[in-house]
Parts: sequence; structure tokens; C-alpha cells
Amino acid sequence: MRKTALFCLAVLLLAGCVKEKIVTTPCHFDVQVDWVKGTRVQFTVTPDNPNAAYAYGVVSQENDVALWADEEIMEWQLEWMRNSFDGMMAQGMPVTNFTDMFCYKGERTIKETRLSASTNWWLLVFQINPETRKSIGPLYKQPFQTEDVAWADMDFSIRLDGNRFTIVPSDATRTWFWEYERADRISDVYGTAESFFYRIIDMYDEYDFLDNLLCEGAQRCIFPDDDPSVKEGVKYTLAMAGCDEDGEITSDVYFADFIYEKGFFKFTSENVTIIDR
Amino acid sequence: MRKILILAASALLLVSCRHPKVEFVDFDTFHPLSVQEGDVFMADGTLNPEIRLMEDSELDLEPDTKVAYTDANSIVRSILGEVECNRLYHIAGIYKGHDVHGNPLVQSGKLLIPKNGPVKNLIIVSHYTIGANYEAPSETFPMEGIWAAKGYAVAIADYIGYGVTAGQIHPYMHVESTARSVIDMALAVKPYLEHIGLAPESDKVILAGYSQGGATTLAVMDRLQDEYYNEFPIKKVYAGGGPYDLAATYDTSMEWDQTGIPCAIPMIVQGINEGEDMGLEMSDFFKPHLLDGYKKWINSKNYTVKEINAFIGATSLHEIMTDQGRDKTNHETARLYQALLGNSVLKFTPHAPMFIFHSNQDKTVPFVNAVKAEQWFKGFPVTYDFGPYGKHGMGCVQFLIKVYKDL
Repeated sequence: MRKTALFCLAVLLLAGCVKEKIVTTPCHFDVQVDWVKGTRVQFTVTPDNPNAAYAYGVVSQENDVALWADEEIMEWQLEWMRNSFDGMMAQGMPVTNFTDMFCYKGERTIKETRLSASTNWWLLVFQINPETRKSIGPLYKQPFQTEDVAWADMDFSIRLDGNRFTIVPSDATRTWFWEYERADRISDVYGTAESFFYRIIDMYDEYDFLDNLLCEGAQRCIFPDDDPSVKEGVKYTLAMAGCDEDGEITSDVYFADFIYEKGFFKFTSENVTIIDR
Repeated sequence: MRKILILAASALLLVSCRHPKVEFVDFDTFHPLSVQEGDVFMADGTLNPEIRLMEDSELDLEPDTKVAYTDANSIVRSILGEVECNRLYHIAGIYKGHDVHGNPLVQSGKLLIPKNGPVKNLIIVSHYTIGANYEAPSETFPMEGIWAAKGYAVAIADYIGYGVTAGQIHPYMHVESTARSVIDMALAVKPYLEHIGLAPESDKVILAGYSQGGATTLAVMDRLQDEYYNEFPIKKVYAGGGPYDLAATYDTSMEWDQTGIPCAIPMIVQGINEGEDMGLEMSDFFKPHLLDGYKKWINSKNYTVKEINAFIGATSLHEIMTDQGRDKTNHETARLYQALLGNSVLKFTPHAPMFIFHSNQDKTVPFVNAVKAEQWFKGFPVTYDFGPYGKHGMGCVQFLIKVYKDL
């Protein structure tokens, strides 16, 4: 009897702990802008109930939306989420639940990057009722202003020489960054080559590791010695741009596609000069 | 009498084949070496004590949660009513895998199937961090095997460095080779199941793993989507407590100056060095006590994670690692750090539903890994289950049961 009671208690304890808690009453959110650097902002959201679902957004104060009533702003954001979710459901995509797709629970430190420079913004945080997919409680707004970024007029050329190529920036005094990835993975994971490039820079910046990867002057690359994972006959996209140590892109972004075959590179690009010896 | 003789001869053959020294074979399927039977639950409803649950290697500095006070056995018993076939076949065998350079290598693993009834799907499991070879899936009744009791075939590869390759260094957290082992085993098991008349009812596979296995599972998903979408369409993916982001794990551990799993330090540095062929000097990273002992403790494959942690005898990173090893601006450490970034497993798009589980009290695999996963996968078909599920080991039991119930 005692064993059965203990067993039941254990099951009850377990059930109590694993059951998803849905919060439908308003909670308080502490929204803190941690810092603004260039076109990036980091903020921390701390709800007083760790199970409360919430979403965030940023909107330029110059945007008409910024003049709307708080309820209208929240509804505007929610409508986009609901339409996206319902659209995916209609297409039979393997979606999860609305909350897991768009909301956060518990304290989160979040970065938004690549915002327009020298602009006033609102950071928006609001609670969502996961059952009704509507907002609960007030809109939490925090203002911040992005900074100016020093722009450089920098372009790039690529010199080919068998199984090596050299990327040559037009300005040897400024730092720049390059990265490449399989073209099909870029479209699958990042959508566009621009998104890929931005995301990779943001990633290295987030790990405080970008400094190690910035170049100055010409950069020679030898394959497959430098990267044995480069596969023959596969299309890759190479991206490069001026970039400072804070992760700010300081020039236009340049792209080139390449294929490596039998020890030789074949490059194509619309805005990079290719010099084949 | 003749039957008995044949049985006895078969048994002798199986015993003699248990630890083969095979250099190369040219088979394309799973080659069984031993077949055993085992129950998930005993007659009194307790979990079969032979099932090897993950040991909790974390420090006992903080009191556990109320969940952890409920012992693992009680939690596991909550699936008693959902067992479709309590008796399982355990088939330990070998298959053609690949070493870290992609050359053919005979590897081992275990396949678990229900003794009776059809097989619904193949579950491809990536196993958690082990130290001793006797913990290898092929050598034990692995905990993930209980999923077979719900009518599934469960394939669990021994990573390189365990099972029949125990003499080799395990390329710990080296994504390409560990994921490769898991996929090679699945490729071998698929025709084998067809051969024995137990082809799954559905072609769709399920991927699952906890801890190191959680991270490897995501790497396997990425590669199956990319290269094997015809052979292995994915039904669902379950990943729990995984070090998905090695660089963030490094940063967090350095910030805490503390790790819940000290043996992971030498295992990662050595494993990534081996997998990436980097030529790192371990003396640049390990303090003398660790430098003197790591080969014996780790590469002998005689000791469990908990035992290796005890040998290391410290949990503060400044006691284990050199100053330069803790400084990622140092040239050699920067090389390692970049390799850690390269061996993180989040840079892909999940095309199948995924379940990501993590205890936010986990100090062995810091919770930051789950947050990073959420960051990368937001907007994709991923269900997150983050909560106060206790330490890493207790989280593992919770994960095991949550997956079982969801299957």
C-alpha cells in the first residue's frame, strides 16, 4: 500500500513538473537595453513568470506604425505571426505550435543587428496568450538610437592561379572579411547570400572572435590544402566586404560563385573583377 | 540431440565472435555477432537493472530539485502502461564505417528490436558521452533501447574509439566522423532489417540522442536531409541536453571557471585535434597533472566519465587548463576555438519536426546551448521543452520518457 502511494506520488510529481504551463494572465516584464554599438542593439527581457510567452520587435520611430496606439502595434505584429503560422499550416509544412515558433519564455538576452544607422528606434516587448494568440497586458517600449558607421569605398578583385586564388581589396589599409559556403546551403539555411554573410559576421562577433578573422590587404587561399571539405564540382558562393572589429560592414558586399574542378577554380561574378592568369 | 548440438555450436560461435579483430571486410550490411534477449521491465514492474542509465557526473554542490528526488526508476515506471513488447532482441554486430579520414573502417553497434509484433519505424540513436568501453552500446543494454518496447527498431552505433575500434582515439565532438558512424550504421541496418523480414512499416526514420548524442543527432539530421533524403526521410527528431554550440560552451565554462564534466576538457581538445588533424600540442592546453594522466584515463577506455572526473580531481578550469588554453586570443587556442565553431551543429535548417529538451539547471552541458539552438531555429518546426528538470543525468531520464511517450 505504502509502495503504491509512493508510486502515485512520484507520478503526480512528475506530471506536475512536465505539464506545459500556459500563462493567460498579465505578467510584468523588465526590458533592459544593455548596449547599442553602431547598428546593433542588445537587450535583456526578464519576465516575472518564467512560463509567460512573449514576443519582441523593433520599429523605427520614423515609421508610421510608431505613431499607432500600443494595442494596434501589438495586433500588427501578431497578425504577421498568425498569418505566417497559418500559411505554413495550410501548406502542410511540419510546423510546431505557435508559441514555440514565435515566442520566448524565461529571461532572454537578444541582439538585433543591421539596423539602419543613426536612427531612433522603439524596442517592443509584449506578452501573448498562447491559446488565443492575442496579446495580454501592456506593450513594453524602450527607445534607443543606433550610431553612425564609418563607410569605406572598397571593392575587390580575385586573381586565379590553379588551385589557389587571391582576394585583393582596393584599399589595403582597411579591414575586411570574407567567407564562403555551398550555394545550395546558403539558399536553404540563410535564404540569400546577404543574409548568410551578415549572419556569419554576427556569429563571429557574438563569440568575440571576429578580430581573429579580419583581413588587411590581399588574402591568398589555397585549396584543398586550406579546406579539404571543398568538394569538386560543387558550386560555392564567396562573399566579401569591408568590416570593422565591431562587426559593422563598411562597404558594399561583393559576391562571386566558384566551382573547383581538377585543381582549377572557375569563378563568376557580377561585381568582382576576376583575373585569370 | 542433433538440435542441441547445433545450438551449442552456434552459441560457441557467437561467443568466439564477440570481440573480433577484423581489419577489413567488404559487406554492405549489418553483420550480427551476438543475439540476446532482454526485458525492459522485470516481473515486479521495476526497470531491468541491466539497462545502463547515464550516470550523473555533476558536482554535488547544490541540492537537487524535487524532480530529482523522484528516483529514475519511478519516472521510468510511468511508461509501464505503454509497453507494447517488453521482451527485446539485442543484436550486437559490425558494419562498414569510416575513420576520421573517410577510409573504410569496421565499426560496431547494437540493434534492438521488439521480439514480437511489427516494427513501426527505425530510430537512429546517437549515444551520450561514455568513458569505458564496457559502456559502449554494443556491450550493454543501452538506455535508449527501451524505445524498442514501443514497437520500433533502435540502431545505436558505437562511435569510433568504442566497441571493436576501442584501440583508437575517440574523435570526441568531431561532427563529421561521429555523425558518419551513426549514418553508416543506419545504412547497414536498413537492408539487414529487410533481410530478416522486419523492414519497418514506414520508410521514415526517427532520430534521437541526449547530451553528446543530442548534438550528434542534429549533425545526423543535417546530413540525412542533405545527402540521404531518399534513403532516410525523417519523421521526427529528438535532441536533449546537447552541446550544440561548442564555442558558446567554451565561453560559458571559461566565464564560470567551472565545469560539471572535467573529463570533457581533455576529450574535446584531443578529439577535435584528432578529427581535424590539427597537430595541437596537449601541453599547450593541459596542466601537468592532466597532461600526465589523460592518455591512461581516457584512451585506455577502462574508466567511466565519473571515474575520469575523479582522477582529474578538480572542476575549476584554472586548475585543469593552462592560462593560454583558457585564452582564445592565444594563437593555438584560437585555432582550437575556430574548430569548435566549425564543429557546432546549429547552422542548418530543420525540414522535419524537432523536439529540443534541456534542463535549465544543467551544469554539465550549459543551458546556453539550448538558448543558442532556439536562436538558430526560431520560426522553424521546433518544439522546445526547457524547464527545471534537475541535473544532466536526471534530465536524461526525463528526456528518455518524454520521447517514449511522444513516439
